[in-house]
Amino acid sequence: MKDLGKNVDPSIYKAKKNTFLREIVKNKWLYLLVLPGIIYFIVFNYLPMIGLYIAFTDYNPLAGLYGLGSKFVGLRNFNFFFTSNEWIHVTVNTLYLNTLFITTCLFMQILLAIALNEISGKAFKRVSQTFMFIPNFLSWTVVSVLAIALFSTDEGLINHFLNTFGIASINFYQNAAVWPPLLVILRMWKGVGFGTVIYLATITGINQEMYEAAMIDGAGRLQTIWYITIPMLKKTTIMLLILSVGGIFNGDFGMIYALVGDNPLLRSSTDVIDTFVYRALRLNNDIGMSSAVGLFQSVIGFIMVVSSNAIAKRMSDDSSIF
Amino acid sequence: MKKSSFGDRNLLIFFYLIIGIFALLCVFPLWVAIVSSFSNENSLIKNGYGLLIRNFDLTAYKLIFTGTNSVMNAYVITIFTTILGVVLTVFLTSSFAYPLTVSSLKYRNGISLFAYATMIFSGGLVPSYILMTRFLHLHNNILVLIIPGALNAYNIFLMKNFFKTIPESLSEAAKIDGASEIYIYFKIILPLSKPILATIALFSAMGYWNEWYKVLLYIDNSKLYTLQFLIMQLQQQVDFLTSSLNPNAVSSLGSTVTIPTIGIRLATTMISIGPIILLYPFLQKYFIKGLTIGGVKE
Repeated sequence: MKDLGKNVDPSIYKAKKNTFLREIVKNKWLYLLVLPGIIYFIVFNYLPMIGLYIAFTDYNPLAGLYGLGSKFVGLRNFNFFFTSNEWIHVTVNTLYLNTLFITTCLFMQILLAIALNEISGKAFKRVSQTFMFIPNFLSWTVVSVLAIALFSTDEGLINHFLNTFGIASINFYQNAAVWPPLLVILRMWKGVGFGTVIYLATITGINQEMYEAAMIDGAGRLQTIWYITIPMLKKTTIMLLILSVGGIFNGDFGMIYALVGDNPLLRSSTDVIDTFVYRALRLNNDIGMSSAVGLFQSVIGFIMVVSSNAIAKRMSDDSSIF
Repeated sequence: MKKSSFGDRNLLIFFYLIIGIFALLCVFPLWVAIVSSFSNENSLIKNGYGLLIRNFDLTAYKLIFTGTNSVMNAYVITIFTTILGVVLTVFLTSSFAYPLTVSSLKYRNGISLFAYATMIFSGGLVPSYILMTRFLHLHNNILVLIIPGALNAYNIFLMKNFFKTIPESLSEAAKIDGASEIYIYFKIILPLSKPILATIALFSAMGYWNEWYKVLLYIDNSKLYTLQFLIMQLQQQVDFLTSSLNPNAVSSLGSTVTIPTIGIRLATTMISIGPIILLYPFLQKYFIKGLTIGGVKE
């Protein structure tokens, strides 16, 4: 060890260790309270991070401890994924669908929040808010059953409705092209109630004096909305956007798998990275490739969250999360 | 005195319409499903799903309750995992979050970061899958539906923010009187935190009740299916439930009545969301409070 000279008293090292122990002992009950959580995070969140190493190996479950002795093959797994056509396809699907979801839901949530704020009937407001919030509690499997009730080719309500007007039935579950708009509608149906509540809470927090001043100056309803309400929503919007954009490379597996399952006919427009990885892992047992893709998603997701947070920070100082 | 111009009134009408229509659209599919679950299977096949009950028929519900064990079994599993899961979640989250708000705790920032880092980076599906099945041997084990997912950084964030609103002077005063940290936590902080504990409990209850992804990944024992996963099976395998019907039930249907596969699916769905829909109006204010605590920055 390098001789640091006479200025350093070796008892400092002992003192440092003592402070750590002393702190733990002083607040032992508090540290005991966090201990289960720390163990939980290590087991369920941090250990899998170590497992990302598998992406760089030719995974053999029998090699070494839990397959960690598998042969290191560098970027070969990534090669398989990125040289296939499918990676572009599922990535594009993921980004496209997520962008549609983020933008349409954002628009709808703000619109509904503004509308809820402007209308006055209390009972009407409460009942409609209750209704709007209910789809949020249904799981996508339930939504899938409801979707079949509406969109099924033979018994679906929509097709029966169309038929009474002489319009031919639409074969929803065999036609890939209808699914992007369909998914957007379903996502809005289920998810909008949630965000509307947040925006509404923000709006009700806006200082009423501004509205009164504006109305004295003769501003109409539309103008007060455009010049006061909407700008005041900027902070909340940005914060929620950061959260959403951070996950833009993560497909909503729950939604898509529950709604279309393993239907190969609909894959061209609904297959996202997550459903692709799931199939590779469970059906083809291609551990190497699916872990490579998983790593890709995690890294990109990390970059997205950190950079969108940085951008938001630069735009307005307290809009960021970290 | 507000002067309501023509344009203003039109906009207001527009707003009422949008809200009204959207709200109705939200419940409309549920209505169709409820109505159809009480309709006769033959008329469902012939006339499709409808807005009104055609040929009121309880066969599907009868079959679910008496003809097979699968549904009741799934109900038990779901209730069990939800209750245990919620208790675990609330316990883990609050005990982790509280020390992070005690300003005299030296390593609390490091521990916070340790938790929040899990929000931005994760290992992904494959390592988790290998961890659960090979390392922890949780395949076909009911614990896999309870423990993973009990703690997440977002809930910790919400709780921490709430705990911060409790004035530190309270715990200071208690400390002067000689109370230990544990005493403060259990006897002072927790009783004051009922709103956030209720909110977290409700949100996590919803998550546990709707769980099917973990069943898809880690469970093939049909006795451990949750309700939502059962519904998924009913959809993807046409004969799943009918093959599990006991012979008495089938024969009691008679030979002219078709086995109501559609009806069974709808009825199962209805009873799976029953508790949520019934409880929700009473719990709405907790949900909204929970969202706005975390979502609105001051």
